[in-house]
Amino acid sequence: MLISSLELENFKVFHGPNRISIGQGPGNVVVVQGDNGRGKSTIMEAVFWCLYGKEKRHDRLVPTQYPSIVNNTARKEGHNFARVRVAFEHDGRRVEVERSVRARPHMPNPTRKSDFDEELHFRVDGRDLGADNSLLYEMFPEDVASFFFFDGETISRYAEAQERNRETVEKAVGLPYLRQAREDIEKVRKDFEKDLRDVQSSPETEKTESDLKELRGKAVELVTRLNEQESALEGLNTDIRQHQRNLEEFDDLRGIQQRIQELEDFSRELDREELSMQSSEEVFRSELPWLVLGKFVRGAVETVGKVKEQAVQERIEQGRLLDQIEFMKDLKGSGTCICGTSMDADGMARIDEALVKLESALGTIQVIETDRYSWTQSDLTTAMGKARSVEEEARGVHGLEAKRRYLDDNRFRAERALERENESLRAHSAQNLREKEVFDRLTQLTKEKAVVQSKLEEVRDALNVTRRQVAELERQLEISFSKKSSASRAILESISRANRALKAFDEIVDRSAEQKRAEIEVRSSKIYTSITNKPKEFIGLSIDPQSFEVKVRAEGGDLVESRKLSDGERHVMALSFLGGLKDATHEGTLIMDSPFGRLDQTHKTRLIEKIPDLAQNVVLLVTDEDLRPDDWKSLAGVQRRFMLDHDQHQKFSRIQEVN
Amino acid sequence: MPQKLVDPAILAEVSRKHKVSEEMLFKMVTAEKAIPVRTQRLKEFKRLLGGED
Repeated sequence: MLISSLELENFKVFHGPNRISIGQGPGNVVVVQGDNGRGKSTIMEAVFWCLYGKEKRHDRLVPTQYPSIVNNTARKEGHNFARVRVAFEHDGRRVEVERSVRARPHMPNPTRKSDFDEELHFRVDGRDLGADNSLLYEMFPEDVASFFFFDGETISRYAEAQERNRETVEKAVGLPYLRQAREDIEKVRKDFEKDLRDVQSSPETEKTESDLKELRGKAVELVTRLNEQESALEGLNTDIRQHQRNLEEFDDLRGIQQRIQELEDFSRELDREELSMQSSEEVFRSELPWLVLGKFVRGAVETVGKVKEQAVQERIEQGRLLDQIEFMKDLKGSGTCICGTSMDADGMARIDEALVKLESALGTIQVIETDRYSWTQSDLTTAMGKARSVEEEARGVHGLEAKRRYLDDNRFRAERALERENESLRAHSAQNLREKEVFDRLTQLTKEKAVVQSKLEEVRDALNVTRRQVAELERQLEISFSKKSSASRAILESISRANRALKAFDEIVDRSAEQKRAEIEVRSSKIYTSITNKPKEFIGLSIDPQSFEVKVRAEGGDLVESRKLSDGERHVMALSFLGGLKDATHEGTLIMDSPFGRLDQTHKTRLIEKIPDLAQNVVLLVTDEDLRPDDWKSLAGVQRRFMLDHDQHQKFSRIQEVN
Repeated sequence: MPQKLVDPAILAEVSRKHKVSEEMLFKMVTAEKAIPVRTQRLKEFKRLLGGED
């Protein structure tokens, strides 16, 4: 904050408009000089009141007291109005803060705060932000202002260990900016964590999961029902198959019964055949004598046949014998052997002998022939015819016998088959159920099966529908999970990045604080060593990293307790600390009210010499006693000089620039 | 307030140590000045930490 002008109108001791201008060089020191009670400290109060709406009393900022803020003379003149305006530059911005109070209309003697209207105008680069001076607090917090607009009477307090000091110093070096950024990162990280929770538990997904759970439950229920129906169907199928088998057994029974019937019909047919057979046998028995006769006839015929055949053979033999006899006779008559030689007696004898034998044989044959041919040919023919008739009868007998065998055989087989069929019938009698009952039951079972199948199909359809729905929901969930997973990964990465940034900021804050502390320590020490009258004994200042307590560092490095220092030494120490702090912040206006109060002349002189270096601009509020003629010689860089003129009669002051 | 809030050397070293983009850290460090409105600043932080930059 580099103050360029300060205007006070009717503010406390100051009557009418008053102005302190702080221009650009040459010199950077503005001296406002006035005796005690003329308004030096009021100038400091005016700055605090204008900027923060508070008054500074004994190093503390307290709420403004009304109506004492309005100059008494002005009030008496009827001007119940006070105004302070501070113009400054900050980070390249032109800022004006103007605060005023005015008694409300028809309030001739205002005594309470409520009798006044307070008005604030905060202008940045010509833009009036009205009463919104939040930016001011970011630019120049009131705690920091206390360090740069200070009262020399209480300056020693700034070197004491106070938590407020640390906080204020941190503000002065800008650490709250970093802390604010850290807080913002923390906030963003929490937002990310909330986003993550939202992503992981989105209402749509929860509803899908709920629906899916419900559908899965329904599917399980349907599967149970399906199993029940399938089990019922299986039971019905078993019953139906059993009843169908029963019906098939009825078919078997009917077959057996039919076959039995056929066999019984066949038996009756055999019986009829039997009767026919018996009739035929009766006829046969009546013809039996003929049949017996026939046997003899047949024997006779055979004999006749054999005889006839034998006779033929014998005729042939007879012929041969006759031929031989004729030959022999011819041979005997010729007397010549067949070899052409004359036959002797012996030969002749032999021929005779042969002739005897041949004629004997021929005689035998002729006898036999005579016997055999005692029957006549007609007898033979008749016998043969009768024999043939008997043969035919015999063949009828054979037919009867064959038929008898056929009958006997079939009757046997029919009886055996009937026995088998009856046996089967008896075997089936164990399941001899009434067919109608079985059929009715089968019909009922078939109907029940149809019902169960219908239910089964119904349940199966419902199950298929449910399974499709489950699949669809699972697909949706999979997509959702995929999206969630992707989103979660991205958010987790952001959280991780935020965590790393937080750690980085923590380290930045710590290291920056330490760096600033060290810098302030170095700059304060430099100022201190240039002011102290014991530069060899005290080699600098030490600022505690934790408490920010300022101590003097003695030669050898030992730290000197503040209570062991004189008031003046403590004063120099505090001034050096504030100067170092200001120096470390590189810019701004330093307003010092009575900074020499506790200093001996040596310290005072050195401080006066150092004043231009303490800040970019320095406003020095001093009494005539504070700056004696010799002191003015030591004070370099005076840009402007103002005097506080005081009207003893009217009891008000005015600020007059001294050329 | 100081013009140079954080020493660039600290920024670079911390950035490497914590594996955070130096550019992102710089933007965050200077965000208070660059983006005075907090809601906008948070939006920018979310964008930066979300890896959009």
